[in-house]
Amino acid sequence: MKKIVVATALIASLLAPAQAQAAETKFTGAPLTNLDSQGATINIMLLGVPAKGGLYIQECVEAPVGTRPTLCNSAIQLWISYARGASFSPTDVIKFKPTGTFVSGTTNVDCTVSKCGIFLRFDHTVPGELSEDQFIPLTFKATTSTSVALPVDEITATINGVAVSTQAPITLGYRQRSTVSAVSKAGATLTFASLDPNCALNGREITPLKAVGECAISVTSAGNEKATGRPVILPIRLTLGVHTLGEFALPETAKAFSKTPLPTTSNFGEKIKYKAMGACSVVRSQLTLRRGKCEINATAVGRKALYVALSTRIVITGK
Amino acid sequence: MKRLLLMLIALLPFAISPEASAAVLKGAQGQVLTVSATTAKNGSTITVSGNRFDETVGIYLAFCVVPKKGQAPSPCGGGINKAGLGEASFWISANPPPYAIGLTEEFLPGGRFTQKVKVSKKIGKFDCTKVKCAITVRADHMRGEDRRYDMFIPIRIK
Repeated sequence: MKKIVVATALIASLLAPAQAQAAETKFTGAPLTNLDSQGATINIMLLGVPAKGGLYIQECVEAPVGTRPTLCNSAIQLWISYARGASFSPTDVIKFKPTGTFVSGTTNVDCTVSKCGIFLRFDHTVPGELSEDQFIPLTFKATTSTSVALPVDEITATINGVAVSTQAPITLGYRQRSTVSAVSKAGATLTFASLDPNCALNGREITPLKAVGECAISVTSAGNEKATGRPVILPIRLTLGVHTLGEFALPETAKAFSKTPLPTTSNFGEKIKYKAMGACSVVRSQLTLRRGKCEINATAVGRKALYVALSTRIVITGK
Repeated sequence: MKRLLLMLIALLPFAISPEASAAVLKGAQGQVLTVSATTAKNGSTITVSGNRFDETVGIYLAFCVVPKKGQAPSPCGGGINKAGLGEASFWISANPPPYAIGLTEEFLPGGRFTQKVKVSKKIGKFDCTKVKCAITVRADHMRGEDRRYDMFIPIRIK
């Protein structure tokens, strides 16, 4: 099965057309499906908005690949920018209120018939650049409902037991395996996603793959009958990994004239060099103890922007 | 790719001698690819190791026909014919998409991996005793068109 998936992926990659350059802006928002035709609110968070310009968030009918939509709901367009007069700044929780029907020019659009969605694009300060163009599909309920507006769900999230939010990022080291947990106040279903390749997410386990910059995990509430859904972003600052001998540990004392194999590589796979002092010797990563105090210095090279050099001292007494 | 091939050619006198058939290739991003042999019998396996690869970029490791300059490696053993899958291709990723979690091989810390890749005389209709075939690394289909990650170590099939 595994090989079939690999084969399929390879074949798919061979057949796939050239990919457009991916947008830098990471979009998260909820709810995106089964929206009320009137009165729906989507809570949006953006990450990685390029500094060179602002964005427009529009409701549009999907256009053919490579073209921009022409049928858009101009009444609800938002301008996302740090500039004066913008609807929201890029770091805000953005409230977007699409409608199930709208008029574009002389065209009446019914989003239960046409494929509507959120269209993200650079604003007027970056004219003609399509690199941030993104289309996120929306679906609407077939009939208008008169439901009462629900409160927005509240999500409490932790990484390694520490509360994390956009106001309180956490710092993790390269390859420091960590666990994300979150609770929805409304008891809604939560989904987790990594917003940046610098951090891998497998279930709830985060593995930072870089030691410079940032990554982020999104936790999104699907909403339920008590509250509407929303995403939260958990920013992670990345730092150098902790270079160690791995799982290896020596006891404080051991029998004199015993031989103990020492690890040859560090937790990051670097070759370890040993220097023995006192009542011991290390030859080809094998420790031979004599009676008395033995001191071993273990060193391994570091790697720029991933982990520092290893330099650790081990003391063991031969008895 | 030209740069990589030139680097390989430059390294060959040092890395490959008539007595030692292992080869080492350093990539443009500092990644190092090592093969245990550059000559092999049809159906045998070659141990391939990687180190210092960028763990944020998933890769395919496979035995492929060397493509024309600037083109994606294709075809590859194990990549086309299900009957010929064997151990001819591997998907290595520290951050696979959700549908592939548990199906990929993981990078070890430091961007390392070791796999035994099966090589064959024939890859599809191509005969590797007549066309150039190589142990090949390329970015996975998440960056399928990005040729910066391509690496080739030619293998002679006896």
